[in-house]
Amino acid sequence: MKITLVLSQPPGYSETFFRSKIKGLKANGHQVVLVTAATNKSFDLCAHIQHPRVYKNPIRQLLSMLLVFVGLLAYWTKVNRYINLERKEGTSFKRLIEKIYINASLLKLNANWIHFGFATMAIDRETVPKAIGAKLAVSFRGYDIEVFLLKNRDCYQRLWMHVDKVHSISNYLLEKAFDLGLSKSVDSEVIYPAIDFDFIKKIQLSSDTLGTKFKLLTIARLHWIKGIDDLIETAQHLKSKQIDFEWKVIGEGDQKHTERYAYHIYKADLQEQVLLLGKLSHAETLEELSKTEIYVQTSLSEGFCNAVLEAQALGKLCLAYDAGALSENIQNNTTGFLSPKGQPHLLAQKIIEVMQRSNHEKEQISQKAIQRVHDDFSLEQQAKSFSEFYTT
Amino acid sequence: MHIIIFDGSFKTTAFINRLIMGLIIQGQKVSVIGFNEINSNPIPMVKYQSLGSNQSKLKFIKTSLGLAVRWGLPKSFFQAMLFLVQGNRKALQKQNLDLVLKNLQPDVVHVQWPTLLLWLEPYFNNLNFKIILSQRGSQNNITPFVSKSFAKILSNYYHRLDGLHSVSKAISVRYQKIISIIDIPNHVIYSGTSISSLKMNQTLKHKSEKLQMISVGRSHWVKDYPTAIKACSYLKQKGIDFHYTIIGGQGDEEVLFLIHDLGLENHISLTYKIPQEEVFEKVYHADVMLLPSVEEGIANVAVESMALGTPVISTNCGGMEELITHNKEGWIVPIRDSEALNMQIIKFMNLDAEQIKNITIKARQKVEQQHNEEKMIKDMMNLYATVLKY
Repeated sequence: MKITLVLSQPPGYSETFFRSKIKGLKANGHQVVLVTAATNKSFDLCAHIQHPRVYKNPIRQLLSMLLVFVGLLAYWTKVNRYINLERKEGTSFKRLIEKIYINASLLKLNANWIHFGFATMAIDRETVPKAIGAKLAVSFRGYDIEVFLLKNRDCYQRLWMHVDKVHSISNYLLEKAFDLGLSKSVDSEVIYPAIDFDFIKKIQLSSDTLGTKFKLLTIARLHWIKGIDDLIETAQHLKSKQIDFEWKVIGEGDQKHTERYAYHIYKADLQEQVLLLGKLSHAETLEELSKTEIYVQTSLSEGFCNAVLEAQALGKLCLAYDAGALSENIQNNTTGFLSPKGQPHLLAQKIIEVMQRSNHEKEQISQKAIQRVHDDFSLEQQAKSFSEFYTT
Repeated sequence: MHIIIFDGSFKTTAFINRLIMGLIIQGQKVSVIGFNEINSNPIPMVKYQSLGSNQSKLKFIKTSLGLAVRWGLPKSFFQAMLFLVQGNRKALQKQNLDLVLKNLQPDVVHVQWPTLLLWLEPYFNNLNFKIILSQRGSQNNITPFVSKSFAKILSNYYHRLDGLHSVSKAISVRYQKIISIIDIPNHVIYSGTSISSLKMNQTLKHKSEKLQMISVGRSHWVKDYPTAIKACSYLKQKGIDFHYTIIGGQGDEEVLFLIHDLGLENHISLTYKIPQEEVFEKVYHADVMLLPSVEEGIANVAVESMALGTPVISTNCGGMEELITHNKEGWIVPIRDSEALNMQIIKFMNLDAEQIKNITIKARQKVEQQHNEEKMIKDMMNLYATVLKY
């Protein structure tokens, strides 16, 4: 199979989901091409093609369009099919010219599948797969379904019409997509993220969680969807109960979000307790994770959440808001604990309750979490599922 | 007296525009300097002097060479050419500022934002003009407390200022948490607005069948709309019939998400920024204004709401308690406390019309006395005079 994967940019080394997906597909004998926006970044795992750059300068843009259109002459059959498909959809002449330009790289491809890594990536490219004789697959992430759609009602209507197969990282997102107009007759499959146990084994993990302070950790971008204000309020409740703790947060944010949470921490007088560590490498993150006693996720929604899965793989006691797909990620009271969303005082209570459990109980939860991740979220399983995704 | 307003831009805020117009009426000379070229809405009789645009290279070169030819031949001209060849924009902007300050000969340079103090490094303690800083906004009440490097910069410059204008008592002493107390004139001057032009709504509030609540302000985390939205969720759970409008909240992903997540689509509406007159119209007809912010100087929207006869439930952030005494001119709740806000809204609904009328009358009196434009101009003139004598 020739599979074209469309992303906004090449996945970095720490973005395990797409990297392991590409490796797995190649290992199963598929040919993979990555298409991204114009970028200076290179990609090492497969062929990498870029969309034409869009220039602000109109003269430069015009020249670039001329070059791109000349380059498309050899692919006239596909372009002609694309024009006819877009005409049927009522696309205006001007918009059609623009769309041919932005889709030029894709129109030149020979592929069995064009798989858009995110739903937003497919907008304005919905008829391209049909024009080149390929099938259209799309993956959902939380942002596509939970946030983008709120600002852009009906933005996926054309995608729902043209999609051949849907991949979702959780049942939660798939159900949401059905609610939003995706036909249940469209072929769909849930393939969960996976854990790279080989990588975890290579890291020098510390089992030393001892110390005078109780250690909590959260891995999350500093972004409102991650519920960092709720995290800080939860910490306030813990402090008011005279608990001596240290809560590290790994992840960076834009200036506005970083200032927002740093200021909240300052106002709540939690600068000694809540520590914003910024972005760390995957290895450094795992090292921090190994040193923590409880892992907490306060996200207001999650498509699935790799960090929670990784924390369970390391046998950490995980507490999370019951938000989005987190109830698929954590089996409540079995592999971790869920707390009602948006209620920091209840989350704080739950943390205290878990802290006070016996070591035996904690160990049981920890072992069940490790076992479940091993059994249900391995890279091998993920690779097999993706290979079958395109062939069945 | 010649006052230079250094805002960084020609697009000065409504508060500064009212100050400038007031100073002009008082017969003072006012110039505005900034890093842009075009001013779509200039105030008559004000000299707008560009220091070289950050947007257009061509205009930047034209302005820089123009200033050098007009005021700095031959040395500055050759220096300007050298900076242009080197591509040293900042050095050229510094030269432009120097030429402007030497030739406009101000008595006072009134700086609007602390980051602009970096530009005035060579001029502190000079004999020709005084430097005053306005303490308002996030550069005073947020950034210094989350950025040690910014706090250090502030402390370096604060000790060399000639005077401070503070928009509230709270902000006037805020710097003391990070910098030792400085002995310079530090006057609290409340922002003034044309209260007399705002007609007060005399109809009895909270008599609409559906409680109409309103907030006004750009979508930014300091406004903390999530707290107000969560308070609305409690109201909905209690079966209260209400509608909440956030003017300026449209397009904010967090706000949209929360409204959707809490199922409040039929209870909350968002609008983009709308013209001032329309804002007044909507505030005038609302039953109550909510100000859920986590930080403010003194919110002008609350001042205007009180002038229009719409009572305000505000958080206890920044200087808001200097505007509203709880249960006297409005109501105060703690920041980030949606439950307290919800309870206060319910208490408001249970007040009788006479009690609300008393509050709105006292609120109007308070803003008439504390936030009138004439007082602001007089107080600012007094600050300038004090600093010049100091």
